[in-house]
Amino acid sequence: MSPLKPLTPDALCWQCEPGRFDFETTSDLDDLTEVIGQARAVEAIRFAIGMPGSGYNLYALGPEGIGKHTVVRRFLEEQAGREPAPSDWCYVSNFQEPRKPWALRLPPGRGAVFQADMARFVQDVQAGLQSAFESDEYRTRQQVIEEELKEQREQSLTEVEQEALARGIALLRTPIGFAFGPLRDGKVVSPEAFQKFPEEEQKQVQETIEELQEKLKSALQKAPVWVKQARDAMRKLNDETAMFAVGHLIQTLSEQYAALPEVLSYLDEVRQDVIDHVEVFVNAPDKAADHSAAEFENGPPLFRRYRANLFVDNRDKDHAPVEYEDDPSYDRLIGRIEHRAEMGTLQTDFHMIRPGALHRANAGYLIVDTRKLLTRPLAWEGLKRALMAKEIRIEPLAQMLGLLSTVTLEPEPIPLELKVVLVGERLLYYLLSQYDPEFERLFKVAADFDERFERSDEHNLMYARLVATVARREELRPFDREGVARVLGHAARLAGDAERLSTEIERLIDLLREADYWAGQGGRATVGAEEVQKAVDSQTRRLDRVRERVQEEIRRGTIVIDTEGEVTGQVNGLSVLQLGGFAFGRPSRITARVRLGKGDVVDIEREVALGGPLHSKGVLILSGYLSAHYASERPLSLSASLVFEQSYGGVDGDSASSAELYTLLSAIAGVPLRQDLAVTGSVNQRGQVQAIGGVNEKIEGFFDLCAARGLNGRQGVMIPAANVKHLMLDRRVVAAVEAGEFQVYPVETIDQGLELLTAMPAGERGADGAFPEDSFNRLVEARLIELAEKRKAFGAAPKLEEGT
Amino acid sequence: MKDLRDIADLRRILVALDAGEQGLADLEEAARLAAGLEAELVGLFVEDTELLEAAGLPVARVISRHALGDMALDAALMQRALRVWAARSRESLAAAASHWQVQWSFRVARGTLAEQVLSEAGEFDLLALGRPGGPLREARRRSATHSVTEQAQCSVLLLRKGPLAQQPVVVIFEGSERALAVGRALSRVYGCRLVVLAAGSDAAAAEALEEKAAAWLARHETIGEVDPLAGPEPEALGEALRARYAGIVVLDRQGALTPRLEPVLSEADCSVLVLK
Repeated sequence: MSPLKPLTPDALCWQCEPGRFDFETTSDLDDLTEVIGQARAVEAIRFAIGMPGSGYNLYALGPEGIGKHTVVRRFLEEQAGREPAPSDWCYVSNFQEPRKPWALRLPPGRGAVFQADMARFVQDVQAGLQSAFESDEYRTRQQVIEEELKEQREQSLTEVEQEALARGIALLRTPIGFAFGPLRDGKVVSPEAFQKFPEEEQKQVQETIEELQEKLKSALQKAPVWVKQARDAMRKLNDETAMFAVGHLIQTLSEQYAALPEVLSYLDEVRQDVIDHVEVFVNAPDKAADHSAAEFENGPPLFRRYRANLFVDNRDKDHAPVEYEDDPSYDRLIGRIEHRAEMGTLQTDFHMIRPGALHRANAGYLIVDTRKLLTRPLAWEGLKRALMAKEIRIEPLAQMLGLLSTVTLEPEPIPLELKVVLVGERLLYYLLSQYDPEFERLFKVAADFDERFERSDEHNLMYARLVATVARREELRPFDREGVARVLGHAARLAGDAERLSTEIERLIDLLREADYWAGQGGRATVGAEEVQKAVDSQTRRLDRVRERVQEEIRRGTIVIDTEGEVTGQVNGLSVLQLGGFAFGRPSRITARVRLGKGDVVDIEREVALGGPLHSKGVLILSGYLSAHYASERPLSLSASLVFEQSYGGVDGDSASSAELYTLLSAIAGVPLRQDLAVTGSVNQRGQVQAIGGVNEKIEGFFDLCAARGLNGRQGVMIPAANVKHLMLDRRVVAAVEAGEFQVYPVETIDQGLELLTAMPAGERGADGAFPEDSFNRLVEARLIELAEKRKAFGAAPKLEEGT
Repeated sequence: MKDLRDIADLRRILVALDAGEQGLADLEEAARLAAGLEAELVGLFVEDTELLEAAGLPVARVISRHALGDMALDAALMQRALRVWAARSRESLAAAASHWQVQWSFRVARGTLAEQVLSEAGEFDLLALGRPGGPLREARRRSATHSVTEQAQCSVLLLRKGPLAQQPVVVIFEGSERALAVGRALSRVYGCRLVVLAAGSDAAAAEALEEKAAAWLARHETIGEVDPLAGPEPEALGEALRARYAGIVVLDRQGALTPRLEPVLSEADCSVLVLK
């Protein structure tokens, strides 16, 4: 096997060549109108917007900070701009069932006019009724009716009374009713005197009184009829008077809203209600002085019912709405019914119905953050219910939960016709898809935003235009071409791939702003590569306290890592620590010990529950490799233990499995490994080294340690060859490699890595099936055979008798 | 200048009630009047002996406006009913007096209204009586009113049904400054117009009285309308009162016209206050 060559400096980092740009500064570039790197997502958004039918709502998924909101909003606003403004909605009183207010749809802008018209109507109807019912004519007619009733009642009584007087009987008005008594000399006869009457006369008096009583009863029984007639007459008078006062007002309004049948129907109801309640208005004017809090807003309670609650007002809109609800709680989405505390009780009416985001976005588009939506109690359920029912039914949360049994409003539902866009991370999308059966019926379209896109000359230029656009929009200094090239380099580093650029727009914008800041500090008119690099370094510097501490403790010997020499059963592995948005590499010592055993490799991290499942999987693969590579025809008779030394947190991922395998093989063969190299890469059962993540951070982590101790020219990192394309290493590393002080080796197989680590040939099986003499693999196999023999010998030894 | 309260000289008012619904309304009016005159108010409820006797008759039955059929009546039931009515009257008087912030007391007597009022009249400056409906009671009340008006040594107020407020106070002025003072006080307490009918035996006398009344009103910073009424016949006076929607008429019994006006006043649909 030919010796493994380290990578050349140009393979370690893609450098954007400023000379490939034909602009001087970003001022020369047009704004970027296209969406960069999100072709799939854009296609999905366009489809969702254009696709009619329910359920074609959109879920925009992808990591934070890649501009999902911006892109979605942009397309929605473009589309909304071509669509008409939605209807206004007013809630008005339902006179038949006051707890179920009606919803009136009006053309955009007419809602406010209607509300003002009804407010004016209330004023006019008050004045009109007052005027009509205080007129002399009305009073006279009223008094005529009252007088007629009075006369009828008095006359009927008077007739009886006069007849009684004529027959010598008095009609007496007592506190409990009418009574008759015989008169003598103008006075009622006392009981004693009456007893002295001849029996015949007593009997006659009694008969007369009984006769009079019947007549009185008959007269009194007519009274309710007269009262009813009088009441009817008063009602008729009131109706006619009210009709006169209200009729022309309603007529005027009806003409204005002739094209709106629902409004006309409502106005008819208003007219009838005023007439039906005119006695209340007329007889209880003092109720107007019932100074409740509600009255200050909408007038006295009697007239408040005729006002309109302008619920959705689109007078200022000339196109369909695009709403973003920042706090998608149930109430803020669906709407709510407010209450006012009055005299210790909670009061509400249709004026206190408040719209939610669905109402504002109706006939348009609503954007909601998925995580926020799912963390607000019942908000998701409420949204789904509205979308399924295609109507917005305002129902208090407590009522929905069955906790509210008091009477409250049930506003008429408003038809719902809109597109909802949920914006959120992928995990939530997959969880919803998996566990909520309604999700995929309601959100049929997924716009999957990518974190990176392919680098090409065309895309580089688009990215430069993106920088230009942001710089102009954020009012930053122009970026010169070197500055743009450095931004592109950083975008590739963010993507963790020399052939890709990151779509993390928010981080890009932050970088541009900070670079502009440093340019300002330096008195520069444009932003160059130096300022961009300073911004990158500053960002790193602000976040790398932990990295520094780790490096410091390694240098001080608290964390033991060798960077020179050779040790058996020990290698430098590399891990990545992710702290928020900052990641850095950390070298770790991995050691292995072997002894005679049953062929199991003990992952100490797993035993103490510090190892994740992927790490455990990597370790188990080692057993497979050992068995297949060295002990296919005899039992693997060792027990090995593997450990990440001085690791006090969890370890996951299989990127250390190749390092663990080198350590294990070193321990088996008794051959020392170089400590001036660090190793990363996962391995499969066939001994092929596979790609891992965070390769740049890992290399830089070991480099920083070596650089701090002094580079000796032999130090370096072994990485999977498949990761070479991901290399976007820091300039310090590239410079050290250029100077021959540090190396990065692309490794494809374990044998390649072993040769580099041990300076021995790994050795391949010959035609006889044996590894060559003096090869590393020969030593491993020999040791395994030895262990197997020993184990066999142990198994053949006679058992000792108990007690002997 | 003599205080108007002294001129009016109505410090203690007796309001007489019997078991009629009108009585409770009369109490409210009397309390308001007492407030205007800054007078003390005494309610007198008369348990009509005639009702008690009638209730004791074997033929006695009671018929209600508000219930079907009739009910046997006896003296005990009537007595209880009168006691209940008296208690209600007392409560109403207390409420009205409290509202108008008037000093008050309440008495119950048994007998006829006229007898009882006259027996108490010596203690009071003004006797207030309600106006009953019905031919018999009307005749009796008229008789009682007449006898009270005739025999009482103090002023008499005959209350009509319904509130007095809003309709004008009309003073029939034959030269009595006291009538003007009382009319002024009533117009203030009821917040209504004051109309003075200067009633002289002829045009010249009426004109002189008109001037005198106007001067009095001006002197007491009182807004009022003064109209001459020369040699008024009862019908003309009745017409004048109707035309002015009189709510209450005030006149001094010392005036020469008063005896002739009584028939009109007893028919008029307004309250009448006869000063003595």
